[in-house]
Amino acid sequence: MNRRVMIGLVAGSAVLTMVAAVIPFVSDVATQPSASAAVASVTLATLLGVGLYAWARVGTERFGKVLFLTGLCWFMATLSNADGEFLYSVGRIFGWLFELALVYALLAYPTGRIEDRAGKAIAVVAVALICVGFLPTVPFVDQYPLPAPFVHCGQECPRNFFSVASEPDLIEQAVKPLRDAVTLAIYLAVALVLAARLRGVGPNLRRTQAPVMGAAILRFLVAGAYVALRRAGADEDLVDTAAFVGMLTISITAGGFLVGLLQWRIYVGRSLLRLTTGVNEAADTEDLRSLAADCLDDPSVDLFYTDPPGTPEAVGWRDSSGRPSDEPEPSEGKLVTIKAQPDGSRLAVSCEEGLGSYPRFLDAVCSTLAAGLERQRLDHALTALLRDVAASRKRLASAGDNARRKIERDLHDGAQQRLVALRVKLELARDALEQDPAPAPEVVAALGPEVDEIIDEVRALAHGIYPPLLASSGLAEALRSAALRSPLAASVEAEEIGRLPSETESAVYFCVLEALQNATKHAEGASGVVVRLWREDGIRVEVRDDGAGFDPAAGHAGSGITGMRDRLEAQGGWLRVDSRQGEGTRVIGCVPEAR
Amino acid sequence: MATSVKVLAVDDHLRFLDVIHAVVDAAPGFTWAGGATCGTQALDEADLKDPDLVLIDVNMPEMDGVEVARRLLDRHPEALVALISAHHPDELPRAAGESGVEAVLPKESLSPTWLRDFWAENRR
Repeated sequence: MNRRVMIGLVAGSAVLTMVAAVIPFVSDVATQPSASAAVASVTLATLLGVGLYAWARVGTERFGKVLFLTGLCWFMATLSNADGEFLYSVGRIFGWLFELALVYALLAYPTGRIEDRAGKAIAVVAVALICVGFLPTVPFVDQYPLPAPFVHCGQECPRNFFSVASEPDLIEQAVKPLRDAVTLAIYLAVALVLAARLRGVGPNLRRTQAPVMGAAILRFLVAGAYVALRRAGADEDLVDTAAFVGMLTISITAGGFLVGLLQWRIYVGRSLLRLTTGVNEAADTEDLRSLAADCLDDPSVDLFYTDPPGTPEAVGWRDSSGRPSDEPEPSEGKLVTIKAQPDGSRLAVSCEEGLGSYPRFLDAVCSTLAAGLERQRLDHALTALLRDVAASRKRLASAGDNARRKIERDLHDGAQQRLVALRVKLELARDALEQDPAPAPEVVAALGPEVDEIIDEVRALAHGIYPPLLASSGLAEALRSAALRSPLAASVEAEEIGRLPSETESAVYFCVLEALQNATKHAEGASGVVVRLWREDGIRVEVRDDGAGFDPAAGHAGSGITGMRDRLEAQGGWLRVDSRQGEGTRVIGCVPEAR
Repeated sequence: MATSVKVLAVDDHLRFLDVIHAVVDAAPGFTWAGGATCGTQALDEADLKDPDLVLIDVNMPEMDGVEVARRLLDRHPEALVALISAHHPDELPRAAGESGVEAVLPKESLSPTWLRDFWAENRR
């Protein structure tokens, strides 16, 4: 609330309190002005004060307004201490409205709204009683009923200012007894409803509701007793005593609100403190659940969650032990709060229904738990990612070693052996020609094919290390050339993507090469393979065959696929293999462009 | 004139076995006893043919040339053994030089002349 508005309200409340205290002293008819002034002003000050306190607090604003309004009704009711007929009559009418407001405030604690059906029913009956049993009688009575709890004018009370007609017998004989009976019933019902509410809540809510409910139950029992005694025509002193105690209980009730609100604030602060510090130490969801149960003082608290969409093993809802579970739903006395996270995952907390009156607190609890869950999820993801990265680094390093070993072996077994043999053969030829130079052309010509073979061998080897076309003309050209050399008929559909960083080009190229080799080796019955290259959130490549396919779940992902994936992931990309028995195989990969 | 020198060659590269065969054929006084592509076969052949001179490739799968030479000399101490390799001599394991063989020779240096000189220097 705006600070200025608050200061204005406080000042206004102080003025009203002083006015309420002064009225009995300036009245000619007040029998005990000091007592009247004390009761009127203290009750008014507590109602307005506690109302403003609640109004200024986040979460209880509405209740604060209700209580403040109740206080204003009370101020108007204190006008009945005046000796003028008009003020007295207005005060008497507001006396009824004050009772109505107080009933509403108690039933609406702490949200400012009456949530339960019984409470609503009582409120409706109370409004109906005022509208039917009290207000319509105003023009027809000479005198308001006496004695009245906050009226101390003895037999000198002013007459009803609003009286326009003489009082029909009906009012005295039927309306008054009936409305007293209904009033009594309402008081009892409120006391019963509040007692039942108090019995139904857990220890966390009991500490905030007990002071209010205790005071209120006392208030309505006393008020009920007063109405009953008055109707029964009991001894005047006894009725006065009941009236006085009834007055005191209004202040006590307002004090009960204050104590309840303060207790709640202390509880919320302590609870959230424990939750926020504990959430970082919770190792798993079960820890989170017991932390929540501990903080909410309720061992039956349950926690459910869903994984973010796209999680590989997502199963819908899980309970706190991670087992798949039905969607949590509110049950008898239980409330389910579901919190959706930005990543699409959800967290649900099932706790006692009464906490529904504190949506902001519940929201804070759920948010904190959700943050804890998110942290755990990120922890696990990070650990898994680090493990993957470490494994992939190891694989890449050993793949590099293997490639070097293979090149060395290819060179040694191929070109080097041939060159060595050629060297020896040259020596043999020299020896032979020394003895007989005649067949020189034939001898030299015979060595030609040997040299050609060596050239071919070295060329193929160099191509395997880094295809010259890839270096000179880019990915699309190199893939077309690779497709031409593929034993399995291959066609390339390549969008014009231009040149890319060489590490991106070689990652995609060797990935396709591996996929082509896989298709040649494993895609039984395939008539051909199609390589597609296009731009979509990066550079995408697809190698699709129409062969026998395989069941990816059966663990066919050999080192070839792992190697392909490592290559693309090392460039920040990804690789997926879709295949089904009898439906061919599709390898699709992507590497981001801007890095 | 003494009987010709029987030469056994051991190399897992068939192509080079053919080259050695040609060199032996071109060297007067030397005859081709046979070729083996692995250590086990080499030892069997040696038992069978009782060669005078054995040329063994250092780098072979399963049993390497150094091991073949050691075993062969155990069984045929009278044979003259040379290790040959396509690698530079500096790149050969030290054991190659310490295996009791008479020479470690780069393959490209193999020639009828070398055969003759080697036999002349080391004949037993």
